[in-house]
Amino acid sequence: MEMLAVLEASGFSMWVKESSTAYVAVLAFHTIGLVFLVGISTATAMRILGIANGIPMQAMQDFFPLMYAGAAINVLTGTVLLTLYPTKYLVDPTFYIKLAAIGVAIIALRKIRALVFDISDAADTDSVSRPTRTLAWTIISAWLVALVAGRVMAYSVPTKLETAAAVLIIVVIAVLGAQLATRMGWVSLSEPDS
Amino acid sequence: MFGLPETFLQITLVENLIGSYRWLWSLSEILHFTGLILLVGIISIYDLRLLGIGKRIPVAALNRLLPWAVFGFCLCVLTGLLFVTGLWANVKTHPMEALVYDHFLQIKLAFIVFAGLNLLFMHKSGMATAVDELGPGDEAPALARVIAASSLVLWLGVVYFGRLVPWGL
Repeated sequence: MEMLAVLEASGFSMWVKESSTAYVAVLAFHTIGLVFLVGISTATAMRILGIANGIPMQAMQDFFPLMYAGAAINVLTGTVLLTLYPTKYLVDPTFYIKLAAIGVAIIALRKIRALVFDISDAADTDSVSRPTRTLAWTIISAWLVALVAGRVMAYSVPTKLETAAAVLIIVVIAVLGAQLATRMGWVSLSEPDS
Repeated sequence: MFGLPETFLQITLVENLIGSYRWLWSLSEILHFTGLILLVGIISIYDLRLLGIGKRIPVAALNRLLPWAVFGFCLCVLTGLLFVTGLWANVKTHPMEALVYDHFLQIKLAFIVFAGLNLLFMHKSGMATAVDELGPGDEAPALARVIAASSLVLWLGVVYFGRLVPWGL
């Protein structure tokens, strides 16, 4: 804890905190990284789930460098943000939930790479296997958890819990609505192979 | 300010809701970010295709993703309106003050307007139809590439300056 307090009071940390320009720039770049990382991986998951089937599956990986750039920006800016208030973040369970969710999303992305993108063009079909679809849903869910955890870190514990509950209710309503829409034939998604 | 009352754009109902339910603001932030991810993530893919990345993709195939970008935009607009009309309940600043004094908000809104005009120009110039016919490996016309690059810069600007808005209040 003492070491964290030293880090928090270090020259670099104090400079970023006192320079409002540097601080907000770090925050803003963290959001740009988020848009690239989560945006591209979510679009890839959506393609796997059958939205926009016309997009050749293998071509989605042409956008992966942008996703990696987003990840690099966020590792860098996230580390800077952590060094500003380590005594605050490192004792907050929400921070670890965010890290765990990011870890799950990255593992699922790597597995999808191995299952879909690191093999032949045979994967370029409209339907994909059930495990791959599960991984796609895992990516979307994990990013949502990471987003919620990241955002509520700025709030008190009751607000954190209430916000999480509100997000959960919205997700449940969205899932039920999507199932109803699929059953009624208003939308159609590709079915898994098996 | 512009002959408008200070309380212009304030909606008492929204303020009361935000005052009574603290989670409403944080929930709206999460929905705003979700909208942003969908909107800018999908627009980036579309623009990059026109700029030559992912050339294996026929452009028309990307149109299936666009309704999700529109959905993201709607989420951002709805939650953005909640932030504006309920601002007083959260930070004790009148929305009109924010519009007049917050330069980051002004830049963000200007970028959104320019992005809209850019999109309008894409349709009016016939580029929207032209790029729809691009098959795998086809290169977009130079004008379409300029429009795509502008779109990318403008939307990233919206994200950048949008994140700065609280510091301009």
